[in-house]
Amino acid sequence: MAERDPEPERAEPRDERWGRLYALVIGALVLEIAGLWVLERVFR
Amino acid sequence: MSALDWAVLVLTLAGIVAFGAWRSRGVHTTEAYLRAGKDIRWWTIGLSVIATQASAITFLSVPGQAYQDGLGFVQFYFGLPIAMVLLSAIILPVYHRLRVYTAYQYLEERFDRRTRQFTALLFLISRGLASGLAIYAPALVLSAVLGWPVLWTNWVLGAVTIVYTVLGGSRAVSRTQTAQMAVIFVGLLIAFGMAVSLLPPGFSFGNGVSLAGALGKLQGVDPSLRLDTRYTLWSGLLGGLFVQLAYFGTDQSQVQRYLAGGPLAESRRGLLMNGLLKVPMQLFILFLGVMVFVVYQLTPPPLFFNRAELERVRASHPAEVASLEARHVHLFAEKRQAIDAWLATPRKAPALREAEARVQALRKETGALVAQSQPGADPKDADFIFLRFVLDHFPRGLIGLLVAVILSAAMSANSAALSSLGATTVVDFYRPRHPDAPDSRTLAVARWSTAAWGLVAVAFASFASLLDNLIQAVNVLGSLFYGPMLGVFLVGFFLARVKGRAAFWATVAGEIAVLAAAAFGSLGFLWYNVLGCAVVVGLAPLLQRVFSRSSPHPTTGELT
Repeated sequence: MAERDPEPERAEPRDERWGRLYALVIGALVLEIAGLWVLERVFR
Repeated sequence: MSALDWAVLVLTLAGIVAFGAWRSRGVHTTEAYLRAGKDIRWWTIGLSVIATQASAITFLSVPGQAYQDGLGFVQFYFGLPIAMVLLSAIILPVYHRLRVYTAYQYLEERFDRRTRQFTALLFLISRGLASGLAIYAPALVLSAVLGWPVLWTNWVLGAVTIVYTVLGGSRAVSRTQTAQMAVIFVGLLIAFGMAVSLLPPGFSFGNGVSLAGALGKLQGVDPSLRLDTRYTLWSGLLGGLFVQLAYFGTDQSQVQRYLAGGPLAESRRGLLMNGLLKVPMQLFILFLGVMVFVVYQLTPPPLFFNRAELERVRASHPAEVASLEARHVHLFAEKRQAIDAWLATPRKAPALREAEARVQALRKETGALVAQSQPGADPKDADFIFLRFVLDHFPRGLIGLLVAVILSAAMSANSAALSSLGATTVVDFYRPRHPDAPDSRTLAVARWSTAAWGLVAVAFASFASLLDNLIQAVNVLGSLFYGPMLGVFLVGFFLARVKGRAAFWATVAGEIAVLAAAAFGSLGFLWYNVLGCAVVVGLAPLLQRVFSRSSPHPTTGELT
């Protein structure tokens, strides 16, 4: 067994693609929080 | 449980284990044993990460928590998507670039070997004890509800998990977890469908949601700044971010899931999948609990959901229990009338809320009687609500499936824990001492240490009943170690000037501070995490200045 993983680094997709995925994850969280806030007020 | 339930339960669990064994055949090297495989795809990583965090107690406790307090617990997970983004963008690329097997290898790269091994030791202690609880907690609930002996449940659950984890390693854990998550998702969807189908004719799903809202069960966001409320929007976003970063960034049971051996992009997508799915999944489980609550507004609920405990109290206090039951029947009828009145004029909910408050007060009174009747008896029955609902209302076959869901969750979380304990033992302790050992020997040590940790967990679970208030005890134990662990990683990532000697002694000081606070202070145990982290992050730069003045030699890369 090697001390480190012998697999060499592979090329990464472009940075802006990750930026869009990060925005999607945070955007979904914001929408969920807003949705919960609205749900509680509608059915209060 | 009926014969059909047993058949469904045994076939489901055997099928999962057989699937894991089939997908992980051919593990003959340490590399293959410690890694899920280079061909692993992001959805397997994502499901594996989710399955590792979701233990059996998640499915037993969370619906019961929603039954009592509504959707508010979801706020605890609001920090998780942010943590996944930070982890993907900052920490994951570092682990990948260093090509480490365990998170603690990074600490030797950044500081020195003793800092690595001290932090790895903190992980082994905390995760080893926690995995004992992960076996014991579901065994305790299943034994109380189904009459299974706790000791046997511990050993069967532990033995099955140990066998497939030892044979197939990390690859078996990941592959089995995808099947376990499939069973869990199907089981939860069926349970939700069953809860909706149990609403009486003429009472729609929309009526159910309105009723839950009128009784305050739909409050999922509390924007207040109150510090005495456990779950608020802000404690979830800030405190939750802290806890989830510590868990996903420094706990090897999670790090091993996403450092699965494939490319960085697959690990990233897997973590982001977790960030995207976790909040909706928890919300769904909580909403299931809310629907169970709605069903029990229209169908009489048990006075106390832990029936075995209530029967014990009845034996010693028959008159008191009979009186509580009679009042319970009366209050339920009163509330049913209030619901009918509310359906006719939905804007007038105060009478309904008053009727519900009287029922809740009676539940508390019952809990108090349970607590005073027997030393050590648990006055809370929230963990029993969902399982009691399943047993009382589900048809044959589906009960077996839902018990399989709970056992699958226990096995998936535990197999990841055992695999990570074995990996840390061999990578961070055995391998540095025996760098020239042949691979076959290192693989054997990895398998034996995984099995040994499994036996430690089952042994701890077997003796756990001797401890009073076990869950509290193990939660406190977990909080004794997480703060300094997160602290030393934060120092590594963000305080570039701090070197090995300062980091090590700051971590030791952080651990001593937490142990001293636990022994002599009155601090709430959740604050131990903050204290330990703050001591390490605050002290490390100061120590670095002291050590830099006292020694002209650089202190990086020192080995002990």
